[in-house]
Amino acid sequence: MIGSLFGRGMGLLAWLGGIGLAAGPADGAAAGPFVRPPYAGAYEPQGVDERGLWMDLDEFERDLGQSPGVVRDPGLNAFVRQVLCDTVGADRCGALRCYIVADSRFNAFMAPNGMTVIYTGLLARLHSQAELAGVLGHEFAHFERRHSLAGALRQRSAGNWSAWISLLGVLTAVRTGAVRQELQIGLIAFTRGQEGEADALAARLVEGSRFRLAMAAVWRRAIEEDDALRREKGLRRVRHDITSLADDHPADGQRMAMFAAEELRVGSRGLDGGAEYAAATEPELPLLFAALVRGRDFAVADYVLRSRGEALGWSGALLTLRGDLFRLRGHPRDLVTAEELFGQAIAAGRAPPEAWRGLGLVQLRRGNAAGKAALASYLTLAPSAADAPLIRNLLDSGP
Amino acid sequence: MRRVRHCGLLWIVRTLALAGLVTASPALAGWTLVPAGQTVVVGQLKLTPPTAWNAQTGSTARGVAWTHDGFELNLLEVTVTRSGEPLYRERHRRRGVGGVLPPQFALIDLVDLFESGFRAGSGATVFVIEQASPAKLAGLPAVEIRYRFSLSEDALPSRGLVRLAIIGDAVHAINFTAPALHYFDAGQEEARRIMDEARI
Repeated sequence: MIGSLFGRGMGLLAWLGGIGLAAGPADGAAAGPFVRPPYAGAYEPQGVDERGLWMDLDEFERDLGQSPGVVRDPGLNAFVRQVLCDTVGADRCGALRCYIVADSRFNAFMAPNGMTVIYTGLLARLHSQAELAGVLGHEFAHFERRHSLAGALRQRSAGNWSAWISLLGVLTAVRTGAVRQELQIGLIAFTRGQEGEADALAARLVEGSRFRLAMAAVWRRAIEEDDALRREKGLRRVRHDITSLADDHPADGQRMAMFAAEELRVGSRGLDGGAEYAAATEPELPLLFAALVRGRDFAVADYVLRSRGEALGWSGALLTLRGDLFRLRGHPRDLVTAEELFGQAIAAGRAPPEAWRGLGLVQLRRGNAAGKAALASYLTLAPSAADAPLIRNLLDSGP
Repeated sequence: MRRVRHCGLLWIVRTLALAGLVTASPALAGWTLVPAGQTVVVGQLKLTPPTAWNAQTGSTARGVAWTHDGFELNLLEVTVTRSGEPLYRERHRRRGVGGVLPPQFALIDLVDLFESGFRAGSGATVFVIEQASPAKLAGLPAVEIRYRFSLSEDALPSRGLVRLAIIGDAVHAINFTAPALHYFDAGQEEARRIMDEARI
């Protein structure tokens, strides 16, 4: 079978074997604590393929550095970088650069040249330093194992094979679609295998760090979020514990199960860092949630907001964001909910000025003239707000 | 991380390729010339541009899209949206729409609705309102919004100027967008003149 040519590699076992952990947890033996191999110094690309790949990525990173989508808050960036360094080790961390990018999707990646990109949608969905460590450990595993280079070479090889087979089929009048499809399936399986390896290595890295291994909850919430989205959109529910031929990642349920087993083995030792995570991300909550709240997926945004509130507490800013979510959807019962949420935000203290703005707008929509007082409070708290001229005009326009 | 479409090198390469394909697509669209001084009717608005514009035919459901140098460099859209319709066509239609006009809405609501609709329609990952102020459109009360945005596919910062008004039973919007570097400043004066001189 041609597909067998692209089966899972033995790279991870070889790596673990090199540091004396070839007898991993699968055989039930009590493995010692994970010890990172000695750091050999900054890695340089080898060969024309890898040098070409790094050159392209260096250029991409230069553009990314100028992008207005990059979040430059120094506190948040320092926090994320510290978690990364604590997870992979300070020696390895020196070669890595972190960029937080405004994007509502749950994603992050680490490129072969050490560029690390974390989406704000990811930060909105995580609840602790431990969870962030698991994600960053996964991305570091791709970098350490040079998965992208291997994947690019595989894809080029598969592409070459596919082109030659297609030409052969034309010359011999033989159908080659099935063979080329099998090449693609093999490539996807290879990529899926890499993701599984990265998860396994991430578990080891977190185990060897000061953080608790806590990734099963992340994948559980991903499943619940997807189910909420499908319910809202009337889409067919899917099973989260099996993969199809087209899945280039393990299923979320498989990842949850793998990490749950690892967490059972490792135990609950290590720092969770929920309070620290909440404190570090609180100042940028509007940025982390802006695209979600003002996007098109109400169920997803509400699920992510509620899960953070239930895990880390409902701050005035978080209540205001949820109030805006309901206000923007704007059904009659949503306006009632929004008014309650804005009221809770204000009562909780330290609510952002947007809480008074949202309360005022909702009250006016519901025909309650008290909304003007709330909007006046908003202007007092934020006289230079972008929409201040519009709000002032509204207040000046009469009763 | 979760979807290899966004994971590592493969995502970057595919994204760059897709961006190239998208920018190459205008050759497939139909175009007509709107001569300087010709009056064009969109919904209840009559517009008379002071210079000639290239108008894309059949590209918008309810309005017109004009450009001088290509949509990536300057884009003037005039749209008419009724209650229950989205201000901007959803990029991913299976996932629903954003910025749908509710049955009852006030001028102040147009700021949030425009942002939601524009984010959904353009896929902007960064959208910041610089100023929202009262204005006039065809002599009627309107909202003028100045904003900046960027799309997920590129690092180019862009700016926009939109004026929205409720005329009859529909929201009429004239929206000008262009890259922040040179093109927005070069084109906003004419865009503003078209908005100022629009009439019913």
